[in-house]
Amino acid sequence: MAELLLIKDRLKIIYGRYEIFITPVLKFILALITYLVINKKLGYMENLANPVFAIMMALVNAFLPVNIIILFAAVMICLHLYRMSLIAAAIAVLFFVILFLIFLRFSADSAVAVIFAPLLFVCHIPYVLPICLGLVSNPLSALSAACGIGVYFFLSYMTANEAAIQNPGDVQLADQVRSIVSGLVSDKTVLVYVIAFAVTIVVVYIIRRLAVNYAWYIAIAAGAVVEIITMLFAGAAFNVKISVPSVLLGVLLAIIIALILQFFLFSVDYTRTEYVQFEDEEYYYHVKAVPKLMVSATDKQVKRISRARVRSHDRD
Amino acid sequence: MLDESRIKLMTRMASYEDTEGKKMIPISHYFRSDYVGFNILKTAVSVTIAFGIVLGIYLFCNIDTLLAEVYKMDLKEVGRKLLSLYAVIVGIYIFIAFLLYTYRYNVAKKSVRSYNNALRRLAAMYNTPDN
Repeated sequence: MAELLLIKDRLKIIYGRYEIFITPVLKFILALITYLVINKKLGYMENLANPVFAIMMALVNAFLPVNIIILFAAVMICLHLYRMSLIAAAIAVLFFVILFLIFLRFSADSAVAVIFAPLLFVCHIPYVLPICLGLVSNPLSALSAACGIGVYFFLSYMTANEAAIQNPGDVQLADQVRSIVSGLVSDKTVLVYVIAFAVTIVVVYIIRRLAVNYAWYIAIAAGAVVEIITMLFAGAAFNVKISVPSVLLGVLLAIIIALILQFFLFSVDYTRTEYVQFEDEEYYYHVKAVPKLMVSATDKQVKRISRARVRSHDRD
Repeated sequence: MLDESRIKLMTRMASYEDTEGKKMIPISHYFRSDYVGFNILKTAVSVTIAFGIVLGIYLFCNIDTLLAEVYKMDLKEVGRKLLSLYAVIVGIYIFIAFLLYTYRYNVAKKSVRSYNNALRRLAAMYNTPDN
């Protein structure tokens, strides 16, 4: 444990010293992964699908606020879909506008979850998202998570029905639109994930804010249980087939990642908790102080205390 | 001459202005009713646009049925139902916006209070004869 704390301490020092470089690099990596995933999933517009273009866009993103990645990604998706079908692109534009107007504008602080949700779905570990969001963010981040889930399933639908959308045959425009919209709306899997993730985020958030010992550990455990239960119940309620082993494995992985996150963000020593009381003119204060777990790296300095050897001819 | 305590105070304030204060200070410049009211208005406009888009998509998807049955419809009744639906949705959003932005305003005011205290302390430091 002491070794881990030392590593954490060193990482914090390194981040503090080189923050000005590390943050843009992290933004660059996130943006690059996002654009590469979009290109891999859609990639209809050849010029846009060129990795050099993705690298250039990610470089620009490195120096802009992180939420701009969402805007660039949305534009990229719409352009790819435009090459696939004008109607699909138009629906995508309206979809993104609606997401922004009724969800995202309330949760701008955690909007980065809109990017993380699809990426985690692509990596087959979506269950990590709600527990981690509950730990680091607030209940409003459920809106961002919902948007991210919506975006992932939107893209999945478009790629799965690529042939039908590209070559609709002798069908009227209104029928094409109706077919795409009803296909998108009829997929109840989105609802299952949105409900399960929202409930988990709220539960984790509430528990980790409680003034009880080991609140973060309890929040992670409770979040994991709630996530499994809500996934299964919502799946049953909406008649969506949920693979129990994949949920269990995913949640197990989510617990591990949440514990790592907890170690970096909130490692405290509950055995040394102190309770103090004091008062001022207006209030009585009952304060619970929990010390942080900390091991400072030993600063070794070699100090020579023996006399310097005097050469024989100097003595003479 | 350099005043260490003043430099420390100014550094802390600059750090606040650059991080949390970036969001909180502009909010604290409003009156509560102005801030909450303005954001409720923005929310109402956003929801109205979103409602319009969804309604437009619905109408476009069902254009054939609507055109065929438009003469049989009680347009007044349809309009009334649409308006009630719109009112309910906007009402829910306005209520949520009211709670959310009131909460955000209170948080911002609390956060800026210690910054204002630091400002006052700094002003006092400049007014003392030693400085």
